[in-house]
Amino acid sequence: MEGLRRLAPRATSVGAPTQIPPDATREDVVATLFDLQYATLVRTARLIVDDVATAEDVVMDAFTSLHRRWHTLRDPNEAHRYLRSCVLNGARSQLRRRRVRLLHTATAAAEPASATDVATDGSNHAAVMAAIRSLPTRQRQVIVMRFYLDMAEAEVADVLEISVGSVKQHSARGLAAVGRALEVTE
Amino acid sequence: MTPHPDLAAIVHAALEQEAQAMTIDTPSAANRLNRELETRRRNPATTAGLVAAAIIALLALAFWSPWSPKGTQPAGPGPASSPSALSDAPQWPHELNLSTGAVTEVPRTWLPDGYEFGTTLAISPDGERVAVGACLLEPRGCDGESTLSVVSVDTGARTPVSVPPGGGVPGSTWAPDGRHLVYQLSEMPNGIGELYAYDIATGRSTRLTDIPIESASWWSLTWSVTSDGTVLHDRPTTGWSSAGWNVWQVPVGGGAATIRLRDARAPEAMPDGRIAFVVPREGTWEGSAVAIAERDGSLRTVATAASGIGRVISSPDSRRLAYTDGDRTWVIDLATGEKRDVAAGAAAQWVDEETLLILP
Repeated sequence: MEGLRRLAPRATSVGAPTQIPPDATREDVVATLFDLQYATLVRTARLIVDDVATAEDVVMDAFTSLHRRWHTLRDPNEAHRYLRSCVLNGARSQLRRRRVRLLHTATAAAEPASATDVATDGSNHAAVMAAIRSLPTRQRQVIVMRFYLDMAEAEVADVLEISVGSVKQHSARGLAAVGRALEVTE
Repeated sequence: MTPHPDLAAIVHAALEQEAQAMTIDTPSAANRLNRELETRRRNPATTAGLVAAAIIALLALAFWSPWSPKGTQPAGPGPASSPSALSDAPQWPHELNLSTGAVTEVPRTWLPDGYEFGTTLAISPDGERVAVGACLLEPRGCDGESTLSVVSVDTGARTPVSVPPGGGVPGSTWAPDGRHLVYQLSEMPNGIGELYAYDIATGRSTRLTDIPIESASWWSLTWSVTSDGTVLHDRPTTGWSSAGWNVWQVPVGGGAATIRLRDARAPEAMPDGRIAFVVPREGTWEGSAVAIAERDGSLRTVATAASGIGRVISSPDSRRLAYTDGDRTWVIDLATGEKRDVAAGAAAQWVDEETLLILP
């Protein structure tokens, strides 16, 4: 997004707060956050929705929503949390744009396995990802948020607006399903 | 059974590996975002015209409702002959006159304070009421709390529709008798979307579907009500869209459901008794074509998708269909086969023979 003032050097982690100068415009902030977080948000969304195009759409919706709702944010410095919440929930629901889709397609319709599936530990990786893809949507969301984004249980509960107990339950069931796929139990 | 202590690490590593395998083209995405934001910026350039139209519409409500099918057609030139798109993306539900291209925004007074429009905006058959699905703006818009209410077009009085607790309302449709509102309730936390019929007179909801939780993921059904009070709705054959879709039928008062059409989704009960529907496409919710089930049971394709077809709705005289292909609304004349791209957004309802209600 050329011509716009950047607020911070490029970073790679999602959710890294960037202190926004009080005189920063909406366009400046959106441009900066886009540079910082677009790739990571797409990767996150992709882990939930399976196909890249849908993940890109979800993230694009989040940024346009941030742009549109800028004046309603209580704290502009929390914009990154708003984006993350939009993406995580938007991956489960796209009601905002009236583009309702199934988020969880059969493996036959999913994208072909990546080259990493045939790496040294390819069989395990494929089995783990197949198990994660077959999880019910809510469990998959929680697994991605807990074990890819390293979010605390309370934070997951807050974003998804469910109880911490539910987060624990979804997390345990999701891990158990993966464990069964790997035949690892205790 | 306690998960293996290394399992969390295994899952983390797998997710990290899967994510990093993706190639992300951020510059191209930035260009796309710029284009989308530019499109939104262009809309305010026409705000003067749209605000004027909205003010006129609001003033007109004091004397006459433009939202009633009984209302007068907007004054203006005769039917337009241009085949090109007549309307481009006001970011607000609006009425589009197909002949004149006139756009009239839905009154903002229909929304409760702090809410935005959700997926439902349905005018009752008598034109006197509107079912409004609205989402609480903060903190998560339509990903969070939503409500359903019936608003009087003349007075603006709002009556909430009491729905079973714990869920959001993705959409609703009037039965042709105007006595029932059929809606889908997305029940948290599983997100199962059962259909309910709300009796306007009694305020009671009757559940119409019973989708097995173990085979369900989450989806929004599409449904329509025939003139004899039969609810047609689609449903995937398993929890996954790629497995196929069938159209089911169930009485609006509740009862046993049976399959009406196989390999079909998004049914639309046409006033003349035919059923328009979307031909499913494997692996995706959007379909490959629009088809009609004739009264004699035969099927014929009337339009094929340029992108992917979401749903189809019939004009009151059953002579035209409006359907959503990608992000655009198209209208096809069933007698001539002529079709044209008329607007950005999704066609929600035919207000009358020449007017569509468009949801952006």
